[in-house]
Amino acid sequence: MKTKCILGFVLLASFLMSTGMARADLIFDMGVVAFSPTGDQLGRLSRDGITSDWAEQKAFPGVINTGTQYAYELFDFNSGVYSFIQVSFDDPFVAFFDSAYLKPYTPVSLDINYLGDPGSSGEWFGNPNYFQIQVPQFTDLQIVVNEVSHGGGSGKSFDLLVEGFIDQNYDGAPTVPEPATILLIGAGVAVLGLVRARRNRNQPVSCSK
Amino acid sequence: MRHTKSVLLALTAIAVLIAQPLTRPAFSQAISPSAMQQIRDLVQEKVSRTAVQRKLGSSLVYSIKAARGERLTPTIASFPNAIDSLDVDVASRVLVDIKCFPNNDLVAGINRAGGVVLYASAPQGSIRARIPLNQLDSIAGRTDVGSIKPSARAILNRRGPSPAPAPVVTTSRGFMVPAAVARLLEAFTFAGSLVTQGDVSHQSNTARAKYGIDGTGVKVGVLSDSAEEISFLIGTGDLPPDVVDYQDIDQTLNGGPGTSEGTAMMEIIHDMAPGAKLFFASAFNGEQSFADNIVALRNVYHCDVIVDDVSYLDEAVFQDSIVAQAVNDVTADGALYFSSVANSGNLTSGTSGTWEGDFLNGGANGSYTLHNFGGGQTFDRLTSSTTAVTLSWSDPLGASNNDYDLFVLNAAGTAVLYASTDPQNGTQDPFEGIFTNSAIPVNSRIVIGLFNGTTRALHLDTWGGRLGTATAGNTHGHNGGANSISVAAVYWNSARTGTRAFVGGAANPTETFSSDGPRRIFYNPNGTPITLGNFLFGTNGGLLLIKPDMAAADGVGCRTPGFFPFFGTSAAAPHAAAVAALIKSAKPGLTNAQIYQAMISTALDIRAAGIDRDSGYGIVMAPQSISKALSK
Repeated sequence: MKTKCILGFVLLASFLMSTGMARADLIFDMGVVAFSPTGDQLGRLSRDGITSDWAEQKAFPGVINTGTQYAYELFDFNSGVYSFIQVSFDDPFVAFFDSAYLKPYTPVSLDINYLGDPGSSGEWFGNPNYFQIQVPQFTDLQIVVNEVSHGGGSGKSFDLLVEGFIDQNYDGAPTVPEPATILLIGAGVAVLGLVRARRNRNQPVSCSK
Repeated sequence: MRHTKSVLLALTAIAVLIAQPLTRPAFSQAISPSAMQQIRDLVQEKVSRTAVQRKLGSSLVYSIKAARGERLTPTIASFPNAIDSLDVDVASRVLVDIKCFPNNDLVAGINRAGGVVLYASAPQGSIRARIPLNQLDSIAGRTDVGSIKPSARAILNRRGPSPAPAPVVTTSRGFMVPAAVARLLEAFTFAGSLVTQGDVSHQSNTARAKYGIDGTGVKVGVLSDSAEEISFLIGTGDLPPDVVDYQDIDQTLNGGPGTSEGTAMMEIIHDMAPGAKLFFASAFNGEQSFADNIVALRNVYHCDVIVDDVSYLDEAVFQDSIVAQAVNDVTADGALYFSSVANSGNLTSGTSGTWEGDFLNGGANGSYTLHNFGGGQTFDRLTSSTTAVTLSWSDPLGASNNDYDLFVLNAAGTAVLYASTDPQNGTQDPFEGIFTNSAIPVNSRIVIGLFNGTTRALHLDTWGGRLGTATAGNTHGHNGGANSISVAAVYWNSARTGTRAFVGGAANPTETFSSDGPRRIFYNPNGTPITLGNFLFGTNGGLLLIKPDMAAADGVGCRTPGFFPFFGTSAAAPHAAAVAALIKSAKPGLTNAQIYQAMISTALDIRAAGIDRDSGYGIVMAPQSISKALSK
């Protein structure tokens, strides 16, 4: 009977530990935001039609229109416990191009710290496009959103969403119980212990009915 | 008084003059006299064909005349597209489908004519062969040959841009990596394999964990164009090492390799049901081969679940043709069959390229009675370009007695650009098709003429084009077959919340390109009428099928080169098939009907409330359907 009780606790603990798996974790969701340029750059990344993914590092796509000025906006974040980053970008105006960089982004040398991009602006059927990059945990990253024609981003909006996963199976980070939760569980275990101690005085305790 | 009368008379005269155009037949405004004359001349050409020429598809007749330098009609020199649209190899041999009594003498005759037989089926009475254009009429003249048509075109139901070109600059890793990033990624191993987002969308990940199942014991067969990337994907871990490639694409027949879409489909199934054993067979080696491979996957390999993503452009609309009949065979034997519903658009999204309804007299032009598409308009305008326009009507296969023809006119309605004028006099299929390798121009006018016979239900399909006057009801053929489970597509991130489970409702609509239903059939597979003497939509003839049946994810990431992302109902069908494999592994003793019921009864309702023409019962979900199945 005692073995059964221990087994029950172990199973419960395993369940609690595993609840963090098989789910997606959101790093940030900007919602629909108006383009608010951080600065200007000369030239922009070529849209080469190749989408970055977790299988392997995408080659730098090259820079085009180096004599043209484009406004860009930066979004900073840290990868935290996640190594698998997925970036979704909803661009209904097909006015922008997003890409990921290791911080810091260098607008005069777009190849420096380049990590990946979706290969295209917008998406063919009006859905958000997306791309994936793989980085070590706790890496400082930047998403760059630049307009694809000079002044073309003015007054336009987009939706940027970044997710982090611990593996390519879209598993989220295991849930770490909050201190209050630990206290609650501790109190519960103590009560159970007390009840068991009282019962022990009279009869053997059993987990089975 | 006289002045008032004069004014009244003048006003009446003006009113009559204004009203006169309204009382004229609409087609006389829409189609110019010159185009009407061309159509009348084309019918003269049709009736003047010899008995041998009547065995040939009209595009072959047009091509042979063009190749010989013969003028087609007094008003049309030739149709330049006719030859261009044919599949001709380097030896100038045309790929054709022959209805015949296959025998050694016929094969020898084809060989003597400089041709080659690529596929033959004695039970079905069909041969696929390559034959020189100038030898077609000699082969057609044989008594053992019934008809010769250009090879039926097959298409994949994938949507999106062409695969991107390979990177030019490479390193030992395969790609040029900037130095700072290379340092960051030192001692960092990329995943190699990729998992479909659909694993989360359909919650097959949680279902596997909750029920301790992974598809083990279930055999899944996949049919697509090809699977050349199998070895590569086994190497990356995206496919299991024991996947079987039963019969891949015939590169000689198809003029080269395929896109390996079959491996992308198998990846999805392997991600969601990793214990399932996978089999592949090509559906691109002709319709007869496709049908034979469906049967082989069941009879040879005993596949429990079979899925395909291919449409043939001449598959029957109002009756099951050979591919759908093969589906009937394997489902009767116990297999579940999933098919992509197709990517030809839907009325709800304003992307329909289909017109379906009963023939309506729009006025005469010579021997033709033109079809009235509504409001007296005798044409339908193509508002988005395409490379194929087909017309089917409610006659039985191989026994059509009503002779409809199909024309495409220029935007102004002053000239015939394309025509399909096959004769139907009791032994042919109810089908006309216009195919071209260059796009049919936007704003072209599509005209249907009844040459001989009576009113029938019509189905006009522009295969990814759009029509000015459009209806629902695109899906047909085996994709919308009575025994196929037809799958529509929903983007995995349609809710714009990232990689989350589908929630249903307005957050997860079907893709704008996903074909709609419902589908009406008028004949049983053997050609007997379902409703004797009633072959029209307007009188509720035939049988209405709920199509598509369900919806599943697309736009997902696959490791097969060129399939990141993988859009289309081609991607949706394997997601649904994988859920079926999980159900089957959870309770192997369930019947097809029980598995199907578990899937549809727990589907998330999307689009119109309840069963609808865009998603059927809605989005299939793994945990809910498995739970339902286990409760049976």
